[in-house]
This record gives sequence, C-alpha cells and structure tokens, in this order.
Amino acid sequence: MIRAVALGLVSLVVTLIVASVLVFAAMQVLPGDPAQVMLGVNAQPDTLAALRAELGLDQPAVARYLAWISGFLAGDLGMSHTYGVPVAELVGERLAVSLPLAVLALALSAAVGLPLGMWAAARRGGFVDRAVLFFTQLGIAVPNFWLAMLLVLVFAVTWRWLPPGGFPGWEAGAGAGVRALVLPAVALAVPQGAILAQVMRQSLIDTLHQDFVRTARAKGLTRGEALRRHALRNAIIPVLSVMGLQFPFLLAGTIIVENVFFLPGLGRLILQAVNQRDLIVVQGVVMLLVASVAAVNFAVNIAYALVDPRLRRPA
Amino acid sequence: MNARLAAGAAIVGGVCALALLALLWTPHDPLALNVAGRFAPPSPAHWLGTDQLGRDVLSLIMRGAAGPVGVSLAAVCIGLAVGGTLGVLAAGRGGIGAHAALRASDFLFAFPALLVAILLRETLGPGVLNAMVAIGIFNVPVFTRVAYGASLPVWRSGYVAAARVAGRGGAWIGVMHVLPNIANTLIVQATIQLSLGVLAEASLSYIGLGVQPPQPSWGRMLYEAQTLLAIAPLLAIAPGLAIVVTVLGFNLLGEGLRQALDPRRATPPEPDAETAP
Amino acid sequence: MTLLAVDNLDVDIDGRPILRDVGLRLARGETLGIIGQSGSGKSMTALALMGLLPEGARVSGRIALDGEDLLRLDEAAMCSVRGARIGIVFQEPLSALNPLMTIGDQVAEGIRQHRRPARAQADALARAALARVGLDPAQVSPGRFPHELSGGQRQRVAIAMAVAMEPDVIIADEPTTALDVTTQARILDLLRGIVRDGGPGLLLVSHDLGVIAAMADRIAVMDAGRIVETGPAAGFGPRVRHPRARTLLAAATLRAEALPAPVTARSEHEPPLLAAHAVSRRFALPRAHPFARRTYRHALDDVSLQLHEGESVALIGESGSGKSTLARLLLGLDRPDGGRVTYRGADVASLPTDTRRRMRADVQAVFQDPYTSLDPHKRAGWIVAEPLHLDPDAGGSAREDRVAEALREVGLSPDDAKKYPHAFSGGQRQRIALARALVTRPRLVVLDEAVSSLDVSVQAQILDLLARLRAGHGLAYLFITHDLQVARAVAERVAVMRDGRIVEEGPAAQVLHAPRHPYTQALLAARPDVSAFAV
Repeated sequence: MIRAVALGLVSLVVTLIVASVLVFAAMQVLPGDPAQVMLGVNAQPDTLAALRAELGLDQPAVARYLAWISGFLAGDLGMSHTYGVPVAELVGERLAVSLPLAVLALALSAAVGLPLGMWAAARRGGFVDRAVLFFTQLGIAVPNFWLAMLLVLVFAVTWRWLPPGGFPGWEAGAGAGVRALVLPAVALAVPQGAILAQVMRQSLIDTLHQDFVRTARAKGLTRGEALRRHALRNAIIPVLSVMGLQFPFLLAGTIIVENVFFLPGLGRLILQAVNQRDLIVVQGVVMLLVASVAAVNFAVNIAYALVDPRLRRPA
Repeated sequence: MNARLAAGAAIVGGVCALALLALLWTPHDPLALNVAGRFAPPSPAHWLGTDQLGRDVLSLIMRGAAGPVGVSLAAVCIGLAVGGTLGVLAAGRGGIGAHAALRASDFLFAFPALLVAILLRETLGPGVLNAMVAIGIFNVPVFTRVAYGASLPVWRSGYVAAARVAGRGGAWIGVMHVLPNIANTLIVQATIQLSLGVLAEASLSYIGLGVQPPQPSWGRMLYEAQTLLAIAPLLAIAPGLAIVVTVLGFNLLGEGLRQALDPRRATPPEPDAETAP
Repeated sequence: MTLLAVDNLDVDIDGRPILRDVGLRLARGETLGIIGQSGSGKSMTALALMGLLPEGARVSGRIALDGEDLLRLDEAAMCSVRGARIGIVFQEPLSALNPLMTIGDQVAEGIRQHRRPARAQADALARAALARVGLDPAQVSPGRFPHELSGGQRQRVAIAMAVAMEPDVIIADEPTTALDVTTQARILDLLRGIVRDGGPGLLLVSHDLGVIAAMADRIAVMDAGRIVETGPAAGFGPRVRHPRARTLLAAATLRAEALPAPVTARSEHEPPLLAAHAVSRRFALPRAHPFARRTYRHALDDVSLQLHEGESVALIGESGSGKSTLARLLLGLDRPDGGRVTYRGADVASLPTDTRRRMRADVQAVFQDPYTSLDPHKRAGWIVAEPLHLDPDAGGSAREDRVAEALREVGLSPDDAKKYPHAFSGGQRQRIALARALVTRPRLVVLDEAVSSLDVSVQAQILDLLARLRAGHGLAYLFITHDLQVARAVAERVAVMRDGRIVEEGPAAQVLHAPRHPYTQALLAARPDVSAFAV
C-alpha cells in the first residue's frame, strides 16, 4: 500500500510540475499582448508600458513562472485583467456550477451504466444483452451537445418541465440549482454511461471465463453467487481505469455543454478568457483542469491498490 | 463476413461516397442564399427543407461530410504515425527510454483535446488544420498504448527470438514480424479513433474551431440551429442524425473487423495423430 | 461397493461429439487413473462429472454417485453435490484461485456454502483443512493472497478447497502438470495420503504415465472421446490390446531406453565451439518505494559450461533455475553482467562482423512452444529461409533448394513450404522450427524445452528425428530440459542447475545413475518409475 501511494504521489507531483511548465510556456507562445487587448489599439505607448509593468509582463519568463506557481500553491491565482477580480474568486464561483455538474454526470453514468453492463453480461446473448448492446452503441454515437439540444427541445421547449438554460445560482435554493443542472448532466452522462456499460459487460464476460470462477462453482456456489462474490470484484479493475480516462472527456464535454445551456461554469469562463486574452485566467483554469485530471488518476491508482492485493502487497 | 462488418462497411462507404460526390455535385448550391425561401419544410425540391438563410439542408449536409471524415482520417494518420512508431519502438527496446515514452504519451491524456484545440487556434489561427492536429495529438497516446501492448508479446515471442538467432536485426524484425502481427489490432483501433474523431470534429466546429464559414460543417449547423430550436427543430435534427449515423458506422465497422480479424477464430490445426508414421 | 458408476456417457458440444459411451467405476479408497493425450476427452469427463461443462453441451447417459443419478438432479441439487460430495482440483494452480481473496477465505467459502456454520467456526475448519494439506497456519498465514505463494503451495490450497468438505469423490485434473518434479512428488504424496486416511475415491486425470503409475490402483486409457482400455494397474502394460493405447504406452516407456548416438571424435586441443565462462546475470526486482535500494534476483551466478563439436549435452533444471537465461546468453539474445561467452575461443561481445555471421550460422536454436515460435503471418517456406541470408552460397535459386532440403530432412514435404503455420499440428510445427535451425547447416543446435509441450508419442518421434540428424551431420546439441527422461535419452554429458548455479556436471551415465549432489538425487527420486507399464 505504501508503495502504491508513494509511486502515485511521485507521478502526481512530476505530472503537475511538467504540466505547469507546459501550460505557462503555451501561454507565452499565444500571440497578442494582454495589455494591448485591455487598452485597445489606440493606446499610448507609455500607458501601455506602464500597464505592462503593473501586470509584471516586463519581467523575464522564469521570474514570472516562479511568481505564478508560488502564488498558485498559496491559492493566489493572480488578478483577472478583464474582470478586475482575483482569479481564485472567479474560479471559485464558476466551480460552484462545473463541479456539481461533473459529479452529477459521473454519478449518473456510473449508476446507470455499471448495472446495465452487469445485467447484460449475466444474461449474455439474451434479449437484455442485445438490447443493452443496441442502446449503448447508439449512446456512444450521440454527440453530447446534440443530445443536449434534443433534451432542451423535448423537456424545456415542448413539455416545459425543466428550464432550457441559464443558472439561477445556489442562492435561489438547492432545488432550483439542481433543476438547472439535470438536463446538462443527462446530456453528459449518456455517452459516458454507454461506454461504461460496454466496458463493464465485456470485462465481466471475460472474467466469467476465468478458471477461478469455475473453481468457485466447483465449491458449490450457484452461477449468481460465483458472479457476485468472485467475478464482479475482478471485473471492476479494468472499469476503474476507463473511468479514470473518462474524466478528461467529461471536463472537455462540460466546456461545450455549458455553452448549450448558458451555464456560467469553468468552460464558458475559459472560452471567454481566451477570446479576451485574459491569460492569467486561462493559465489558472487550464492548470486547475490538468491538476484535477492528475488527481483523479492518482485516486484511480489508489483505488486499484485497494481492490487488488497484487498491487498492495507485491510478492 | 459478419452482420456488423457488413453494416459498418455499408454506412462508412456510403458516407465517404456522399462526401466525395458532394465535391462534384449537390442537389443545390450549398452556399446559395435565398432569404425569401428560408425555413421551407421538406419538399421534392428540398428533401430536408431549407435553413434560416434559405440554403438547401441536404446539400449542406452532403458538403459538410468532408470535414469530419477528412479531419478524423488525418488525425488517425497522425496518431498512427507518431504513437504507433513510439509504441513499437518502446516495446522493442524496453528500459528507461520506453518508460519515458509511455509516461510522456500518458501525460498528453491529462490535457483535454478541446483545450489543445483552443490554444492551437490562438497560435495557428482558425481552420481545419488545428482541428486535425488537436485531435491527432489526442490520438497519439491511444496508439502508443495499443501498439506497445500489442507488440510487447510479439517482441518476446519465440519467432522473434528465432529471427535474432537467424542473425536478423531490430529493423528487419520490426517491419517483417512485428508490424504484420499487430496490424489487425491497429486497424481495429483506427476505426474506433475515427468514430471518436468524427465526434470531436463536430464538437470543435460547434464552437467554431474546425471548418470555417462559408464552408458548411455539421457542428456549426447545429450551433446555428440551437437558437432556432423552437421554430425549426428539423435544422437541429438533420445534422445531428448525420453525425450519429457516421459515428455508428465507424463503430460497427470497428467491431465487425475485431470479430473478423480475431486470431482465435483461425482454422483449427490438424491433430498430431496424423503425423504418426 | 461402487461409489461412482458412470455408464454410456455421451457429450456433444455445439453438435460436435466430445465423449462417446464412457463408462467408469470408482470405489472408496481407490484411485482410478485416466490417461490420454491432449484432446482425448479426459478433462471433459471430469467436467461432466461435476456438471460444469461449457455452455452448449448436451449430456446423456448415467452418472451414479452412491446410486443417485447426478444427471437427473436440477441445478440447485447439483450445487449441493459440488464441493460437498465431489471435490475437484484443476490444473493451473494460479488461475484456479481468485487473486483478490485470501486463501483462508477461499477455503472457508465452500464450508460456509454447504454447512452454514458461524464465521469463526468456518475459519477454524479452513485452518484445519490448510494444515492437513501441509500449509500450517503458523507458517503460511491464511490471510495471504495467492500471488504470495509458490506454485506448489497454491496447488495445496486448491487441494484444501477440494478436501475441506470431506467429499466422497475427489477429481484431480492434471494436478501436477504445471509443477516441477520435486514439487510434483510432494503433491502426489499428499493426494495419496488423503485417499488413504479419508477413504474418498480419487479420479486422477493425467497425460503423464509417470504420475498415473505412481498413483493409480486401476487405469483407464482414453482416446478420441472413448475409453479404449481399462484394468488394474498391476501388470497393465502387457495386457493392453488396443493399438492406440499400445502406441501411447510404448512411447512413454521405451524412450528411457533409447541410446545416444555414438560420440564423434574430436580434438581435445581445439577451443570449445561455444562456452560460457563464469557468467552471471541479475534482474532488478521491483522496489518497495521509489527511494528504496534496488534489489536483484541472481538468475545466473558464476556459471561455466563448455560445448564441443559433435557433443550432446543436457542442461537439467526446474523452472526458475536459470537454465533458459543461460541459453539466452549462449545464443547472444542477452548479455551477461559478469563473465563472458566465447565462440571458438573468441569473446562474442567483440566479434568482427563476418565471424559474428559465421557464429549465427553455426549456432541455431529451437524454442519450447511450437505455437509461438513460428510467425503466424508467414508461410513455412519463408520461415525456414529466414536465416539463409547468413549463408553466401544460398542466394537465388539455391535458396528454394535449401528450404526443400531442410523440410525433407525433418520429415516434411517441400510442398509444405506454401502453407501457413496454423495448418500444421504441434509436432509438425516443431519440425518446421527444426528445419529453420538446420537450413544454415549449423554445428550446434540449442533446444530449449523443444519437446516438453508435445504429447509423448510425438515427443518420441521428434527425439528419434534428432538422433538421426545427429548421426547424419555430426551435430552438437544443447538440450535444455526439466525432464530427466529426455536428458537420459539424448545426452552424453549432463549439467544440473539450481538457483542460478550448476550443482553437478559429468557424463550422463554417472550423473543420472549415481548422482553425487543431494539435489540431483532428489530429482531422480522424484521421478516415478514407469518401467512396469512397458507393453
């Protein structure tokens, strides 16, 4: 266990360091001068220079990187050029929308996808299996933003059950907030859930063919008991790694789906910030996204070790 | 040939044929505006009706097929060329270098493709090229992993050991033994990445990062249809269905190929008894 | 009285006939050995008795346990028979155990399933069962996971699971095939003891006549889904009438008497063709955490071995002894960490290109698994011709002639050159691998477990072919094997390896008949005697 955690931590730290350098370097390559964008094309050269000095843009790159990263570690992501507020505050506001959305979507996809996959594997070749295969094929092929539009068309425009977009803010009450997130979460969850169901089904079918399942049956366990007590835990291991890989997809997906539903989340923030050359915001948000992906990978590795004694206690 | 392979091949073949045909001929000029005839319902003249500017939707969809198909194809080529080579080499050489290559390619996974595309637009300017590169970059770690995993047992196999004993070098073994034996796996993965590429291209062009106007693209058609959802739902449904059908086609093709190329389905060998003198 | 009576058992899977008219009798305290080659239906018989045939199987006939026909029981009733009244031990000790569950829990699970005792009581019974198979809970904790045990210990766990419920019948399906000889002997002792004290009937399924000979009271021979011969073990060989059964027994017993080809004359002054001088090779073990010190497993430790022109040497060792690592070093597939490998006296690490090519042509190899040693995407002719670039005389049209010649030499037809490997059987594939090794007209062929995955009768044919080729060309062989019978049949000189060292080396007659080192003695003692089964 110590070994798994230690290896995971080392790789997490290395990933974060390399990623921060890459993100910072990418920002330097971006054409366009933030000071110029803020002041407009008619700005006087001396005001421009003054603003650049104020923003710290006249410092060498290494110094700016160190300043940025040490601030980042202290929770200070700098000041947004365009919004005039601390980036941390801005991100915090947006995260209050994006994070519940991602969690809701992940929970929905797992809650529906995993049982469907298990059910199909247990009834392999039967009607349930074929139905699950058909619908997961379809679910994987549907772009989430199109699904989002169809959901709006049906549930918001035609039936008027749920709001078509926008976010009332959590001040308006948890119920109103969750209502605004239901459709986007479903749109994000359907393709991911379909993938999870397929991976779960295949992994469980493969595991059911393993010798130790036959051994369990030879001890007198019924088919269902052997599946529940022996196959399932073994089958979940590849599913975990797929869930880890899905997380970046989910984040990318939120950027677009937030646009469809006019949600004030991180995705919209990053699109606006790029357009306005608000580099300090872009840098902060991208770094945050990459860090969350790395953290999820770390968590997945720990989960592996918890499930699998071969990683916990190598012989 | 199994049913999935047949269905997948038919759909993919159909979409590609339409995309090629649309370069030469479409029912109407997809770029011709006709404001008087906008929002026309489906009719014999306009099978799928017209859009908010009076353009023929069917012609737009036909012309729009080139973007997703072309971009995802190019992205798969990038992934195969870089990731495939990296994976095969890493498996063959082993050691620190292989470890570093795998870690580096895994590292790319941490960057959502969309962010890469957004940043690329800022450096390269808008256009098809950055969509290809952004999706291609994302394909690299996938093919590295797949090529590594598939070629590792080949590099460790008895026939590679025999080729070394036969005095053959790494390049000969890589080309003559490893590539033919992992080709099936790579082909299957390529079709899966093609379907993901179509989806990704649609997302990118939805936020304006792919094919640029006035050239039609499925993603942007959806973007434009979004505000008109209440008055013209067909404008949102038709391009979406085009995406679903194309992605489904590539997925079916991939699964069909996986089944057809599965080495476990090879003909069983003769029993040994027949070799008895 | 008869404990288990099987009559007219027929099994079809997806319409293909698998078993035909199988009949067996097993009494309490008796061991029935079922022997047959792979694919003869012996494992399917075991699965049919357990009611665990794969999907799509159709069964008819009668399987009576204490007079009750198991084929008439519904699934729920069959679940209460499995484990409680019939226990089974499968071949692969690693894959047969759940990697995520402790061994104690896996043994206790069957007890809980049938007797529904309190948890503590089930655990106590499981500990007792583990102790009975030689896994004292004080030494091998029941809280261990399968990957923390050795192969023999894992098989003991599998046996504990099978015997924990005191079943009437124990089926052991190739229980020792995946194990080394010394471990095999201990596992067989354990099974013998269980049959003696508990009085269950043991149905022992094996392809290995040695195992059957060591254990069985009665023997049944299976071939093509039928039992072709059955009778008491005492005096079984001479009574056998069925031709396929006779071939099988003849191949398994006669091989020990085959004599090595005459020694070719050689000069003592010439340097050895190929030699290892005090080589060592170590592999890094995974570290406990990233800052821990690296630890190593020493696969080879100061090993020297000389191979002379025309000589046939056997390198004997169990799995993990380092014998394959030594072979890889000698073949130049890997480099030693210490010491050196020489070809005709010159260090192979610094051979000039032309000498290196000559060494490649002179030293060829055949590897163990005939299913992975031929590239499935290449035709047999291409495979055989692959080393020919080493031979300047084999360009152009000579190429095809050389391939045809090599194929004929190993007993195949030149027309076979056009076929792909999947069209050949295991034995034929090994002939193709041998043709590839012979095509450069080498002086030495390294045979790394080259016959160990083949059925006995095919093994005998390949060994026979090797002896003829040696007599014809004066070839030198290095046999790397875990099988003493193979070593006895082919080698003039024998080296025994254990834990990365050569513990004994000398003329075959001396090492194999009057061994000095205790490990060699143990190896020899562990090998069951099959001479009583000669037909």
